[in-house]
Amino acid sequence: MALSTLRLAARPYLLAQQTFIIARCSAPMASSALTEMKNFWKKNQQLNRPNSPWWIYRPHLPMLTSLCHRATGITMGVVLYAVSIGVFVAPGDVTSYVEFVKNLHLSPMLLFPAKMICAFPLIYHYINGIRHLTWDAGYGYELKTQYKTGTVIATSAVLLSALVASYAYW
Amino acid sequence: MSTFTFLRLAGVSAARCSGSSSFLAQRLGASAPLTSAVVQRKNLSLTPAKTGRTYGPQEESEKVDDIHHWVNERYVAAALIPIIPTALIYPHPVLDTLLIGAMVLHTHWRLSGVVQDYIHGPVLFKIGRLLVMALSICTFGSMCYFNYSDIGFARFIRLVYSQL
Repeated sequence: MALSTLRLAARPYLLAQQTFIIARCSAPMASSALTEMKNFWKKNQQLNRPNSPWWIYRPHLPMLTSLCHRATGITMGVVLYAVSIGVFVAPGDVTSYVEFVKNLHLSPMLLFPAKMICAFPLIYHYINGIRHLTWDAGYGYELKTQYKTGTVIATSAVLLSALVASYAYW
Repeated sequence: MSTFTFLRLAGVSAARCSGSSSFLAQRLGASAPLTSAVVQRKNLSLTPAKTGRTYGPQEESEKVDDIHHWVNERYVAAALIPIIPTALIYPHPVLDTLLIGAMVLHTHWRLSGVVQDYIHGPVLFKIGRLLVMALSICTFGSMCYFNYSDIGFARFIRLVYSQL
């Protein structure tokens, strides 16, 4: 009986002690996440720990489509930069260059595949970009959907680039 | 890690977890064809973590935690979806400028993301990003000059694909 009254009397004081301890534990940490990561990697190097093997995946469609998206993006970026600066630096206007290539009278057998190859990156990156944006919105992560959309996009990009390359012959 | 790398790996991890085959079932060889993305190699060589190479995010800046830049990148990419066909089908100076602005912005952000992904080290990384910024500015300026003094970007593309 005396013990329970003692406990009842002591409880607020003890709780206050507890909250004081909780407040101390929730103080902000001295180091940020970035420094923690850097220290972790420094420790890895000091202990000479092995990396995990990263090339163990057989090439599968989502990986290939993502790779193709990045490759076409980089190609187009580099070509855009090079052509823009080249058009600025080169003498004369661009119509004269197109006339020059037209006067070479290259056969359509060479020009059609060349135009197809030039059109494919833009069309593929464009349609796959729509797929990426739907992923960012949260839809279409199921594996079957990824495979279906991936094959549809690849084939339609090839067909559309053939259509665009044939524009000169309509 | 950039979104591309994350999504590429997500394709693999989805392969691992989806369907009825567990990680253990895959290891034992009983897996559906769609989910057997992991190849079992008998002799995997263990490469140690290289000294002198920095792993993980490079910058100690506030920008790493902010979500607004990522969202703005998606807005510009979504804006490019209607702009490209419209500008190519109806060539007009205003549409040309819109097209060039959105394209150079999107390319600049994504190319600096690529540099961030693949170029590591304290010095080379900064040089890469400076180079991308300089090239983007030069490209935008050249393209604006081209739109102003020459036939314009959309007409140029149409010229190449109709004449040649």
